[in-house]
Amino acid sequence: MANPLHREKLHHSFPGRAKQIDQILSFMGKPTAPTPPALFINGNSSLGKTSVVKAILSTVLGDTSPSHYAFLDCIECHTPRLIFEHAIYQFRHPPSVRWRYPADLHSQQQADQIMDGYAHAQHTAEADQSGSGSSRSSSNEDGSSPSQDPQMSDGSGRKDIDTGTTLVKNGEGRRKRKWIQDEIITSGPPTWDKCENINEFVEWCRRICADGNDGQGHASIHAKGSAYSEEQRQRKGQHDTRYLVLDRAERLRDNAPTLIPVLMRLQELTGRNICVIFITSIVWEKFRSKNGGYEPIIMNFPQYSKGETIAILERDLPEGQDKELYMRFVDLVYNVFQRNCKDLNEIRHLVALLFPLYIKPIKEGKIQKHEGLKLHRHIQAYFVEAMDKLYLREISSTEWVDRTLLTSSGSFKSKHGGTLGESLIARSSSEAAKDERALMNAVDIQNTFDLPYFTKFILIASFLASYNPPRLDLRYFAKVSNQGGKMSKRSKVAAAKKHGHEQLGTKLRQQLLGPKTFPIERMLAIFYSILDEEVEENVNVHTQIASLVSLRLLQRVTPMDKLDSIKCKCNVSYDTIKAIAKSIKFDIDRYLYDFA
Amino acid sequence: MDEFDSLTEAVFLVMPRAEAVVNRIKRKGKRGSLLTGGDHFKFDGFQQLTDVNEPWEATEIRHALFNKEWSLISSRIENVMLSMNTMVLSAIYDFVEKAYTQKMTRTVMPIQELPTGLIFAGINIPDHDLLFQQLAQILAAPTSPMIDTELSLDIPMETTQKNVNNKVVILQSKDCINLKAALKSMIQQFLGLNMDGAINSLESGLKLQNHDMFVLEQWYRSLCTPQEEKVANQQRQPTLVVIIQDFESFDQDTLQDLVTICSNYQDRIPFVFLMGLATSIDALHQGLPKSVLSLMQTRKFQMQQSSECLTAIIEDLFMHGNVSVMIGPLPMKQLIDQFMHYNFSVSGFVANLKYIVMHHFYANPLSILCDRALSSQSRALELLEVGHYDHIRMLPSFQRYVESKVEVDPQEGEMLLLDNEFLKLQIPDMVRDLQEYHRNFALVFEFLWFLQARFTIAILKKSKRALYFMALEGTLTDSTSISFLLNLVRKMNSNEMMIFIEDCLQFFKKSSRCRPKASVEEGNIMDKELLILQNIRDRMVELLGDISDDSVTSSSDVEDGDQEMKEGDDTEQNEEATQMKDSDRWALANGGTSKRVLNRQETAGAPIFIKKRKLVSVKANVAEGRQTRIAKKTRETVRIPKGALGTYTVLVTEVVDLFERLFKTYLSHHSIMPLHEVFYYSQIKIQQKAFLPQPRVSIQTALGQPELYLNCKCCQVPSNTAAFISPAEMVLSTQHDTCILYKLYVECGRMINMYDWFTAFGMILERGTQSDNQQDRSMSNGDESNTLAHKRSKKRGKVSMAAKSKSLKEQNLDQKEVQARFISGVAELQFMGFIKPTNRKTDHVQRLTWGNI
Repeated sequence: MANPLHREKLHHSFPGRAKQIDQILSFMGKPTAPTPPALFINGNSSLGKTSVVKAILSTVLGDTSPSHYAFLDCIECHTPRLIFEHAIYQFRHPPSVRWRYPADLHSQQQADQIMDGYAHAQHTAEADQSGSGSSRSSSNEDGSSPSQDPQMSDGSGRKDIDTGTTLVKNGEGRRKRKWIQDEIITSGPPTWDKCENINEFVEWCRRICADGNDGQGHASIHAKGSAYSEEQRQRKGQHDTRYLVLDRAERLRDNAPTLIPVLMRLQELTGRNICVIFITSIVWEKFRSKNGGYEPIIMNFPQYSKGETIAILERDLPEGQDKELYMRFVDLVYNVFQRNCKDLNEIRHLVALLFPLYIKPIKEGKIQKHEGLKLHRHIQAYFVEAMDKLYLREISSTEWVDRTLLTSSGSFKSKHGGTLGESLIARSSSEAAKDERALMNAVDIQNTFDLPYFTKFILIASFLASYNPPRLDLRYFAKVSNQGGKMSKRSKVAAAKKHGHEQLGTKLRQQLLGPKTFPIERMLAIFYSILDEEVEENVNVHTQIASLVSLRLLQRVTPMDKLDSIKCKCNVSYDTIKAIAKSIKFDIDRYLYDFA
Repeated sequence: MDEFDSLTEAVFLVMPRAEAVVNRIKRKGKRGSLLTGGDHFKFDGFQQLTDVNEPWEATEIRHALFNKEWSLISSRIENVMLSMNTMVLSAIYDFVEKAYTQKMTRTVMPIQELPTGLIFAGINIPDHDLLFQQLAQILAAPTSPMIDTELSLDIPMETTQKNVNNKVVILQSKDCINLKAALKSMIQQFLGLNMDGAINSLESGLKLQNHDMFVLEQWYRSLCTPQEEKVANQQRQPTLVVIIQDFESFDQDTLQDLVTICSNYQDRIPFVFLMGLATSIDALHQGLPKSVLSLMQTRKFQMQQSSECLTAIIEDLFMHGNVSVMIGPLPMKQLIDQFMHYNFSVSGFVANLKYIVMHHFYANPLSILCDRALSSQSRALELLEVGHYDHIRMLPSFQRYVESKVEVDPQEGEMLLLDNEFLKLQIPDMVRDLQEYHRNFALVFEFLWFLQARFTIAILKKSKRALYFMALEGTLTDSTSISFLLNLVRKMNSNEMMIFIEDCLQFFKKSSRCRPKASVEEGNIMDKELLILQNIRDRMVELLGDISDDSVTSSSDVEDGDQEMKEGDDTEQNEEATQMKDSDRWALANGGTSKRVLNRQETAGAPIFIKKRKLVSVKANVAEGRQTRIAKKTRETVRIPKGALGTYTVLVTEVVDLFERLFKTYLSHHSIMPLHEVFYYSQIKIQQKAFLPQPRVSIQTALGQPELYLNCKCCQVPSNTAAFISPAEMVLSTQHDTCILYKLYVECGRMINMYDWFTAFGMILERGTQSDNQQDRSMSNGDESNTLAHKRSKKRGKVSMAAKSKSLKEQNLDQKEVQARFISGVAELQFMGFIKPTNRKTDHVQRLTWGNI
């Protein structure tokens, strides 16, 4: 195919991806040209794999034969059946008819469908005169998947009517239009086809390809197949390549592992011109099955270089902003964050959120545009904060916008040395009247949660049980009668030493190894030992253990159906447990063995 | 009894037979009650109390009172809970509202993020059910919850007028074990909303799977299209709200995928997620990977802490005395403890409270008097029987009351004790006094709280709940916190004192108790107190006015006279300034009080005076303030008219005395009021049994002392056993097999030899049959030491003993039957978790429980 217009447009909209686009286009070739059975595209996240493939397909096929490709997300299609059915549906129904409703066929909708019919006549006619159709590709300028926007293609369909009628002069066109009208009247709304296994799917693929058209033939494939002559079918694009795109294909390995080898040789199995494109972020080696199979053609999308990144970011230039200033800022952000963050989308996200802050003093007239150093110093503090919180999504974008843009310039000025957080606290106290904001800030600050009194002890006991070796329980928790209390710290250290351990620094410290499992009984014994008051055993203690498990503070190791000798793990960090212990004035360090 | 002979059913519900009830009523029929048997359950199982010969009508009244009381309490609790969260709920509503409309105005993001509200709802997950249902209702409702409250701050009117169109579903972790189930649950709930014109592809004959997002998309599109035709274009497209109720319990992988899918569909279907987090934001960051987190645009909402809800409920119900049934100190402690120590569960608290109220009316014959509206015309008074009067006279509070009466008026005291009719007339008065006490208590308690909030000193600051609890226990009036507060009042400088007294006046005037009009007819005590306070205020205004005039002249004296003093003044001036600031800030922080501050400045009299004083000289102020302190510390006298100083201190003392008297009189313990037992619930045992169950203890008691449960004659301890053996240690052959086995089990070590156990069991059974046969013989071999001896000897010479016992048993007991009984008993013990089989020793079982509770 390699229509030069398409190519140029794609190159333009994807800076830094020219090589890959050319490669894919050359694999596709002309509509009827044979393609490799499988294409495997891998590369890190946000390198444009999905959007490039989508754009290529919709640009090249979108106008002429939109139902010649199916685009599936393997997360959404999490069972083989879903993959099959969605694929068939997309193959059989071009986007414009995908949302017809089977129940109500009002006259208006019928009319719409006839309109669509015109449109399709149009498309097929164009397919015949390949090349002339390219002029219309401008209607789908942005290349954003028309498959998802029926209204839009509806509109374009209507637009086409004028040209369609001109084409009617052509005798062939007239015949086709007539056929399509017949087709609509007989076939009705789109149908959903059941397809449960790979055999059926292969059969469906054969039929679809043999069908050769944009899916206007539904209910009676066989009848229709026989109704038209070989010549017609050929013209309707029977030998055109169909593309099955599987996005996030790594999910296939879990959801449908047996499907991968089959899809690899789908072309061979169906004997039709079908190309399966896998898009994934992991390498092909991880897909290979033991039994072997076809090797796909592997294409790698490399990381963007700095120039490419900046070229992409340039496209995000907010409207009405100074381009030079923006580019300077983008350059700055790239230099600051590129070491931590390779993800392009993440950088775009940061640029979008930080740029308003960057230009804020300019808007307020405090700093001139050309004073780069001043601006840099001004934005520096926000960078630190963004690296800390925004990047980790501790603050979401809206919260960030709220916080930063509303920051009064006064507190902002005073804050050159300090971090944003301080100024925010200052702000929140000054604007206490705005309770809603205050509410939000309170949430920001409050990052802990409260537990009932005994539950805290249960959690502490679990922590101790998880990190202390059981053999030392007697020393730590047994009440020594002659002293009337628990062991002194010194004797405990001595006890620890006696066991041949240094107090700290052994390589196999439990702290470094993570929590160990413990039986519930042991934890309860520790619980009753560390409590100062006498508590009678009752049901609530056990319900609290269960609720801690459901809060994921304890992790149950034994399966749920096993009722006796339950084992758990404590899933709480040292800092958290320390804060909890502090809140009930419990000195947890006294009881922890080999901990720092 | 054939009907209870079932292999499959374990528990039967036996309804009282009609004749039996009729018979019982016939027996009581003398009183002319006209109830028939079918009415037994009419009162939810409320029964006639026989010890006072209660008429049916009284039962009816108790039942009605209970219902009335409980509906009052539960509606109040609901209101409190709702008002606690109104702010947050409306914020969430707003968030959902604006999630897709405000997009345009915000900074354009490269990636469209999924609006996600994180709701921190406290750690008690079972409570969340109600909360999220409320939330779902509010979100689905066409109007904002803010409209009917005053809180509507910055919601513009347009949003409320616009017809909001949210579709809400709640996903619970139990329905979402995997992605398929989660999608299915979500889609089916949405489709189940039954919208007009929407298409359910699942029902329309297409062979779609019910977890296919395609179905939802089609449904949504069909939902939108007809609306655009019918209604004006302004109509918003519906937003789909997905509430994930218990984030922590969700399978994290499922949730990841769900979020990713919905985010993929976001350009076609506007989704909003609301996630209920029980712990902290860390759970979110731990649960979801970066790639998913970056798809979400989170906003956090903090629900009211449940402990604050509890305080608010207690305050509304009991501190303000809005209900009749009050909770005594012990049950209150238990209620609060259970809440604070174990579960933070408001619903648990409510259930517990209901139980208390129910029990109060269920078993207490005097509870017919537990009615706030009790008057001398009440029906309840006419139904009082002799037994009721006896009960009243047995109340300790009544006895005390009579004793105090006797001292004043012996005649009346006698009447109270002997004359039922006279007592009947007195009861409504007593009840009214009690109500009066509650109302006064509420006001003065509120005042105490006001006083405490006035001072910023953190030590000795107590929570409202703690203070109330002290009052219930009766330790509040003598507590250090009150004396400390009064001391603080004493230490105030004059300027603050004026403001303070003004505020106090405002406080009392604001409360409904002190309306002058009400006072005329009822002779309200509180008004008298108010008058006293007003009087003091007036005198103080007068006095301080004088002083300030004086101090203009005297200030120069102060200045040149004492340099050292001046320095001290300066520092104090600063101090004062900061103090003022503090109080101002405090006032600002509490919106309500700030108004009061404003009020104060506007009202005539004192404020003018204050301003004047400020103008006249700050120095005088300081000197004055110092004065009061010096008066106590007796350091050095300042040159200020001595007469004025004297009157001022007198006034301050008067104020403090007034407050002290207020607290002493009105915060006194409820037990001084006669008949308080009628209103205060003070039992604790039955509540403990119901809400702090101890299953292991019950099981052990049942096995160790079955006679306590079975109440059978056969298991009575033989009279001739030694006194030092407790009944729990006795093994009697008449007891249940499992009990016998359990008692033998208690004696064993970590590993139990099955054969030994079996033979010991057999011995005991055998002994039973022997004693049956030879009943005239002494039963001395029935005691337990004998069994042990048998068992021990058996261990030594198993074979011979076994042979011997076998020959014995053949006479009386079938060996097979013993074995069967043994096995069934052991199986029961294993089922209850006392033993478990072990692989270490083949013919042994492992003992699992230790210690007898």
